[in-house]
Amino acid sequence: MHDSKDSWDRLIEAARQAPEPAMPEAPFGFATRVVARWQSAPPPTLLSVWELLARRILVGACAVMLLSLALHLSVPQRAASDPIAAAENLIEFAVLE
Amino acid sequence: MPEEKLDVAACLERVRRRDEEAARRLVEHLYPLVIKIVRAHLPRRVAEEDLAQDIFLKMFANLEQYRGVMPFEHWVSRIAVTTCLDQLRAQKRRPELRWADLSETEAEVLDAVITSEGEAHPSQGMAAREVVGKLLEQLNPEDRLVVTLLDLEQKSVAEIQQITGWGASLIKVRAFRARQKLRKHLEILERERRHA
Repeated sequence: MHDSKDSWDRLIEAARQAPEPAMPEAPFGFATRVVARWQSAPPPTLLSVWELLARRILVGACAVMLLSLALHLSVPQRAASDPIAAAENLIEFAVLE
Repeated sequence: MPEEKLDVAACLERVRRRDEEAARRLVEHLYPLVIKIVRAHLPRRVAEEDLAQDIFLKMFANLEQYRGVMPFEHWVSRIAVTTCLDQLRAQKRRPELRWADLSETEAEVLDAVITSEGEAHPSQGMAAREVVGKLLEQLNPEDRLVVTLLDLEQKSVAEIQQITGWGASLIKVRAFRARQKLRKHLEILERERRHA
């Protein structure tokens, strides 16, 4: 019995021996159809570029917001379990006020 | 004329000015490259011409982003590969390949590579490629892409980096993992063959 590693190597070797298909030229009318579809699509405007940027900015802002929320929620928990941290928080608030 | 060598840079300049003739020539020039990639990674049930058309439309839509850092053909290859990858991701994985799913010639070639110490006969190349194609459909799209490029098309890791934009170590890890999965599938087929 042969191990499957040898089987895979032999199989892929055999597959590589398959004749390469001839490189076809574009079918008649293909390039014309593609170009017509490209031309019918409106060119990118300033507004569309802004939309794309705004979407990315919005995603980034949401990520920052979630991160801030997570940080905010983690701080009181830590303070509650750690009396020194809680005391430090109280002092900070007192100083700020 | 297809025999005439196309000045890609000059052609791109005209395409950016929305010159239709230049755009047509660019599509005709790149068609063999694009269709080769599409055929190598064609997801099931997707017509190759439709996929090629999508790739060219993406190429035109993103033309402003091409900065000339790499050859234009490499840039288009990357669009073609990522488009095929997106299509593959959208498809459901094919159910596990069974010995009974193989055609007579495919079973013969697999029988030859499993039982024989030697190599399969060159005339069995097409059948072997069919079997490899069916086995690759068992993998996830990224693994499938790496094995196709590395083992079937014998591209170097550096070339695959250029085409996919992935790091060398990621490509090597994916190839290693994918080959392990393929060998496992072959083991299953081998067991089924013994019981057939």
